[in-house]
Amino acid sequence: MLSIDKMIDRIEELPSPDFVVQKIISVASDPHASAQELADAIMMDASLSSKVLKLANSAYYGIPRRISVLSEAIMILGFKTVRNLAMSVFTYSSLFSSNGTEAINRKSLWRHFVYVAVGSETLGEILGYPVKEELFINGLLHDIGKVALDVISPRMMRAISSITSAKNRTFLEAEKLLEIPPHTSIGAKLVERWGLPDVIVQTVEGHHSPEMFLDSINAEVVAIVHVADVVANMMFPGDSLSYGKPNLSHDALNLLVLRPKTLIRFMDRFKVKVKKADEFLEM
Amino acid sequence: MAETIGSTEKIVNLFSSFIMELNNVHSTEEVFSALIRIMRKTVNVNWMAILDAERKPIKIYPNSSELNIGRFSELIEWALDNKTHSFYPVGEEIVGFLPMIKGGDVLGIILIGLSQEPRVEEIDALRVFSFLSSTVSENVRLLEEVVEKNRLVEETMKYLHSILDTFPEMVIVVSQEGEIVYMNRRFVEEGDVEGLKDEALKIARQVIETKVRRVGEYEKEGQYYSIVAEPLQYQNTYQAVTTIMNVTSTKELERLKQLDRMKTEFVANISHELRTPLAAIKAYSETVLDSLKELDENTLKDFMETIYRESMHLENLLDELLDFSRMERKALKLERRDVDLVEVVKDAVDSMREYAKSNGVKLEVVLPEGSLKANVDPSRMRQVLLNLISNGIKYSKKDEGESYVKVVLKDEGEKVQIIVEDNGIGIPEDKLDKIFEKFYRVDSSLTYEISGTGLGLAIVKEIVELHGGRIWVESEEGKGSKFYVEIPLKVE
Repeated sequence: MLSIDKMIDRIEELPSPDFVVQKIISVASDPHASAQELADAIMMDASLSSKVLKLANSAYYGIPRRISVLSEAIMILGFKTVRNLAMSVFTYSSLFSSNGTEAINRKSLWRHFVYVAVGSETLGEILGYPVKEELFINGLLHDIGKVALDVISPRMMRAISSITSAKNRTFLEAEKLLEIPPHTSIGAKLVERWGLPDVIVQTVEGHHSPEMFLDSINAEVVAIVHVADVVANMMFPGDSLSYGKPNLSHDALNLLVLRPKTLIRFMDRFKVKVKKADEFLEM
Repeated sequence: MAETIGSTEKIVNLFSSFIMELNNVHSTEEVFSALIRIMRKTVNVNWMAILDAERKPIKIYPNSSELNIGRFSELIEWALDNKTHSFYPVGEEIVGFLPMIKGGDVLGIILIGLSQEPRVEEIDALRVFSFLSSTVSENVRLLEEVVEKNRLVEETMKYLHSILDTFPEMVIVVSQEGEIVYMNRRFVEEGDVEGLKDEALKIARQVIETKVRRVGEYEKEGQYYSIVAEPLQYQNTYQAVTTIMNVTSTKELERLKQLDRMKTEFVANISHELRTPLAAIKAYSETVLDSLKELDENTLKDFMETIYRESMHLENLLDELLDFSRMERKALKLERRDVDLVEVVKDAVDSMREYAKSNGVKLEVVLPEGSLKANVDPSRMRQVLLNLISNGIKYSKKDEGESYVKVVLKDEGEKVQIIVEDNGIGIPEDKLDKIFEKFYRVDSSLTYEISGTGLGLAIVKEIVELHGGRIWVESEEGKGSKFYVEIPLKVE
């Protein structure tokens, strides 16, 4: 069995965000940046820019008029949304280009990423969280640890896979049962290494146990992604190789003041939103 | 012209001034004015429009501008549907769509026309400002609603209060804890009568306990109050709505009506009483006059005796009437002398023996030994005794066992007591306190079964009281009565 440190060393084998993606992330979080600067950064990769434009014009956003220029997309959808699109394209490609087993279905896992991203954004919208775009990227990356685990130790992934599907257990329960370093910690180390913001590191680390970060300034983000993840796992069991009954954190519900009525409203809206997210699934 | 942001300090300043302005707003209108000011400080604003949830403009900057909002309707709907803040290039301008959303509900949308592309930090600031102002404006609106509701509630309360205050009745509401939780003005003004509140509270508590309507009465210094308490369920507790009404005038009217009725009865009664002896005198004297020659001495004597007896009776009746009229004019006077009461009583009893005998009533007398000197009006005392004794005989049980009237004179040291006891028909309990009232007769009817003016006992009472004494009665219906007269011995 590999120790977590040895595993982290092997994370190098995973593709890391290239220069373009890194530039996009830094421009999108620069308060002085203009739309044109962000557009310039994306245009450095022609295939990325066309994919971003395609997503911007997708049914998910449903913009009433067609956007043909990146800077316009940035103005209309916002800097952070366009950054999310770029990040989605990168995550998608890294997910499908990396080596790994067939123990986990990459397509299903990607669908889980997109659905939790959409779910987090939708829940934020319903709860009145002002920067819902931040929720999208956090939801998108929350389970990146599972990709890492698959690359680092296909053997472990296979073991987990057999337990969760056969015994109707959650991914987390299987990890504990097998005494495998959790995908949350591995994922957190990975995004930290990629130089992504703290909030993403904390979300990846705490999305199964949001109580860890109750005192953090990112507590709400972690809690929202947690709820979206649990709901996605219940509605689409197995997408992230997790079966059984996921545990919904009371601390998260309390922190978000999430009442059953609101939760039901979220689930209704979530169902509508995922139907519009098809273009994210096939890039 | 707005300065470019560019430093944390400037952002902090913008936020500080916006928050300060929001602290002082009292209406949604003021919130949006503050919002427009802060937006203009943040970016170069050509125009602004704030639309409500029905997409109707509620605030426009500049005031005079005529904006064609209609051309944005598609984008407005998109922004609201996606709850997304976005900026569109429209011609030379960049138009911002900032939905106002609270708890998932759309409150409206802010449209803002900018002359140049906003930067990331500017967009963020505009977003936060619109978030803040929608939250504050919604709260202010709710507050306005609450204030308006409160005003309405207060007005309704005032209206109801003024209605309750015009009630001729005093109204109080008593809580389950027995406290007065409401009183109308009538109660405040007229309810301060000793004992009245306690009586009302007592009845109210019974109502709260039994949850059944209750009625009571209270009397103080000649004022009569009727108390009615109704149970009222209020917020899972029981209260008592208690109405108090001064019914003195109603009672007084009732009393006067009764007095009037009694006077009418009295007139009829007294005419009858006067006619009976008069008719006898007339008939006998006519017979004597018509048959003077045929009548023998014995028959004549018999006739003349009847005439004499009936005139005496007539005289008595007239005396009684005169006494009564004196009494009414407060002109009844005593002629006090030092007399021996034993003699007075013995004399009065003796004079009634014949009457008692003819009615089959045994007359007994119990006197103290020796004499009993008192300073009284002897003829008035005799009148009292005759009246009580004749009443005893008059109201004896006819055709039933052995009737008696017993007169007892008792020396009680400072005072004397005269008791006139009989085993007659007695007096019903509810009439006991009325028999000393003028015109009152227990049978109180025009049946004339028993003769009498109904004035006797009223006069007796007056005489006793003029002597500084008192009179009372103990009686049981069907068993007999016992009249007590107490006179202080005032020997000079």
